[in-house]
Amino acid sequence: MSFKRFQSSDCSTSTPVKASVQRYLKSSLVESNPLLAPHIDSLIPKKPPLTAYKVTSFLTLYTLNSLPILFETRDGPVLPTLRFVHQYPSLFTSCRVDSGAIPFILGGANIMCPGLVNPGSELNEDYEIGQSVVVYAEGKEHALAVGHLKMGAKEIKEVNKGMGCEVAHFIGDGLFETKSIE
Amino acid sequence: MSCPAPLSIIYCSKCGVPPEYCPFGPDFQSHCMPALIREHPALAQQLYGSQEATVPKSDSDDPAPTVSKTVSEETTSLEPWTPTERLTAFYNKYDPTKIPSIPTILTKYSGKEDALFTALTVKYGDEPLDPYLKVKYGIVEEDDEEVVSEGVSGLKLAQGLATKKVFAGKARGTSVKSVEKTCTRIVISKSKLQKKKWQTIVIGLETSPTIKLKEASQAFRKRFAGSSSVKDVAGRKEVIIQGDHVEECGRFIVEKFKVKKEEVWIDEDGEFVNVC
Repeated sequence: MSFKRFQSSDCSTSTPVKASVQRYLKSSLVESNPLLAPHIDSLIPKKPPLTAYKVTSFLTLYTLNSLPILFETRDGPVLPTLRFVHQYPSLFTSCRVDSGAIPFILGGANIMCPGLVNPGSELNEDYEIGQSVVVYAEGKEHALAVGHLKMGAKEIKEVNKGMGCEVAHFIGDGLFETKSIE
Repeated sequence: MSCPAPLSIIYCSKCGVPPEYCPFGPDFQSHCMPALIREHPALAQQLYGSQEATVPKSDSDDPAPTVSKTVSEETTSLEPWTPTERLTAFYNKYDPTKIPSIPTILTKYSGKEDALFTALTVKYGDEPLDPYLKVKYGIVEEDDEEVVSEGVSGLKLAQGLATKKVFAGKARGTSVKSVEKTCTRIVISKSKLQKKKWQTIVIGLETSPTIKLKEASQAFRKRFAGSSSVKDVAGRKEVIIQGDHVEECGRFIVEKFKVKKEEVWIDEDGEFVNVC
């Protein structure tokens, strides 16, 4: 699933998010990104509540003041949008790919293990399978993509073959270009 | 500890990504880099400055400013040409009689300088090179050396030549190639024949993807009841119609061939006006 050809017209219904759902989103985020914990309530305040847009039956987009902040697939973790991440770079769990992977990721590809193992890349060994990560690139300051790990970090380093991280959202994709949703 | 303040991020005004990712897009040299240099020179210097010659302007304390090895002797602060200087250099090269009319032209085109220079280049030829760009990026005039590297010619395009690099779009990735397409620019002018007779000359029709020259010529013949022919002048195709039909022709082209009004220019006495 990716936002490559996403447009703001792809969003159908919009509903204000219930308090219970909002709590779930916040706790999900904090679980994946522990550094977010002390600030989560100021980043995502109770009022005004987030607005949920249904994109497909398994993809929901959440906006705060018409800015897309989070999105969620049915079985995946709650992920932040890149513009949101750029504003608060130090708060999200991240990894770094080596520079050779950049053109592929910008084209919408997923990240193969070598991209996370080669010199220049950084990946914390404690990350488990399913961990949501913000992907940075070797030598670049801003986040490049957002996704989740398909293999545990230790396994990635050992096996070094196959898809390591599935990319859900990357710089330049349809969601990135959608700066606001009314 | 309160929440950290949100950072305000600079995104490229052309392709939309953070400028450090612009080089991965197809239009970096032609669109992103010139825009960044204009809008955020400090950031441009930081990202791309390491390869060029730099004159440290901020070193006011330093009595003997260190000049990097590639900079030429005449450096004090070399500034890029203003539109007035560009236009003067242009007319100096091709038609000095027009120089007095430069202020009028500039007032007419203020804000639309890019369009002005593109139309001029279609009419006369390549724009003379700004020495500031020569020094800063090491661009070389095409008559000096025949090999112009890709990056360099891209930068020359930043000055606004006729073969304008069209924005290929925001797609990035390994399989994307940059698109070099001639922008549609049609210029209609007239030239005098003997006695009271005129000829209408239409150039640039080949830049429009929808127009076939022969068909256009026949359409003109029908419409203006005068002979119309296609001539090949210095690699460019011109359509010549007998009679003075400049304005009508402009409107006809917009109507019949679905060309946009902004892409058709009428040469009124040296000044370029869009079709109305």
